[in-house]
Amino acid sequence: MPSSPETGPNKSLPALQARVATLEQLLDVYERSVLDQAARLEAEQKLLRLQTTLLESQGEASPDAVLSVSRGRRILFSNRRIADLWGIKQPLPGLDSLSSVFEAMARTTTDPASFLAGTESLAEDAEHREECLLLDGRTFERYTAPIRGSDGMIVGRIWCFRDVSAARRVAQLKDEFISNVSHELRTPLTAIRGSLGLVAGEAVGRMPEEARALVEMACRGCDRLERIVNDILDVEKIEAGQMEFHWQVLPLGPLLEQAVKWSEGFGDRYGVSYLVEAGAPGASVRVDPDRLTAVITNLLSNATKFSPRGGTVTLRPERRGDRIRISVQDHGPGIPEEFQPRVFEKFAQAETANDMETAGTGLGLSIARAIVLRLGGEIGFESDRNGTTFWFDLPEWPGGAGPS
Amino acid sequence: MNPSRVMLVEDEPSIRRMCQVALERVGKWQVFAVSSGQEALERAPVDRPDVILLDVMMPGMDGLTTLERLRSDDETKHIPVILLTARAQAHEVTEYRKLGADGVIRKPFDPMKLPDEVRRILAELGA
Repeated sequence: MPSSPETGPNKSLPALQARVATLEQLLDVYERSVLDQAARLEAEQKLLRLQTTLLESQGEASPDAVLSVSRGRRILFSNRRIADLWGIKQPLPGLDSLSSVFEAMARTTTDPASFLAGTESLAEDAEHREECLLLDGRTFERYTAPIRGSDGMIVGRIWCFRDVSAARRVAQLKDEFISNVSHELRTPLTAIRGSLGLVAGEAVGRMPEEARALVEMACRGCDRLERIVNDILDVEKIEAGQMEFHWQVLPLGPLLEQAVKWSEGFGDRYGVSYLVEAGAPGASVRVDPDRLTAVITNLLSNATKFSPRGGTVTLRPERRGDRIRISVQDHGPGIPEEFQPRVFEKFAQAETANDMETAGTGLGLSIARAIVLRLGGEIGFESDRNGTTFWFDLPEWPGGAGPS
Repeated sequence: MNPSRVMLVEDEPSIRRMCQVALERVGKWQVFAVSSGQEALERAPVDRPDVILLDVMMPGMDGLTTLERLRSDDETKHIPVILLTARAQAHEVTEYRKLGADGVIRKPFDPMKLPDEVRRILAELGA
């Protein structure tokens, strides 16, 4: 085959050599790049392993038993507390099924069916907290929430279990202690208050003006103590389900008016007037009228104490579906934000005028809440710098044209 | 009716003493204070009070049993009995009346007002 001058053996060798050199260079660059990428990848893998280890050790360090699952209910992670707390075999990610883990847990509870129901009937984005009782007497709190990726999409669900037995026992002991002390205080208090009343009323002889002032002060202190003791015993009775409720189906309007009438004297002392708005016409509720009135007068008295002189407190009934909402709105300074989470706790009181005659016991709202719960309702509030509205919802009762 | 002789049945010494002072000093009555239902049953036919103020919650024989015994005894069944109790809701009061109580005074009460309250109940009985 004839060769052209360009491709002839003499000319082509240097050209080829040049191309080989170029290729070698390219190969070198490529190799370095591959090595670089491999090194970076290895570093990234190391970091990822470190992060995983960190996350796992955090998971292990948690006092809660933690279980993370994928959207498809595949177990992704479980810490050793799961096995310790529940006394079950350690679930293995990817191997054990979530259902079998929940079934093993459920068998140790007092109500396996409801435990399992709570693990199944959940909306994908549901966050839920509840307590479960174990056969051995312990109480666990179960918390579950969706796990979201950085884009906000749900990628799985986390389950946390915490042994709250000790906290519950302490709370119960505290309640029992307070209740026992209160019972023991009642009789001597009655005797002290009654005797002071007899002395102040000069049933046993006249006394100097100074002595009378002191005795009257002692009477007021006693009255306050009696209110506290009675409130404590009331809360305890309601919570233990021992307070009897005398249920009646009654039209709501007159109940509201009655509560306002009873509160008017108190309002006068603070220069506060009450306005009952028309709303929910013809509504009836099934309640114990005395208890319902106690709730409303309590909300009215709180609203009054925090209202400016000359202010108005509004009592507003409204229909909301099959429920009636009763709101008590004031134009006071609002509840301090840091105090809001504790409003319904026993003995919780924000700073108030603390004179003995009007100071509350710090139990009024917890009593109100306990009563509303027994009445089948809910209670809550909204508060900002322009005032506070406490509300409670009760189921509307059909066909209650009059007392039954 | 204005009584002159009152029997007070109360197990708690401090409350008994307080009520006794109120009945004697404010009511200006002669008071027979006893500390148990048993003692009341023994003393009532002897002391012949115009009215008996009877505590309900007492150890041993409680007020309601004492009331029934007083009502079943010919010597005491005519004496008006007023119960002193913290348990004085409408349905409870109805129950006490069925057992023969003539009136109920809710505890805790203001001892200064106790004599007036007793007079009011007795006046209603007389009416």
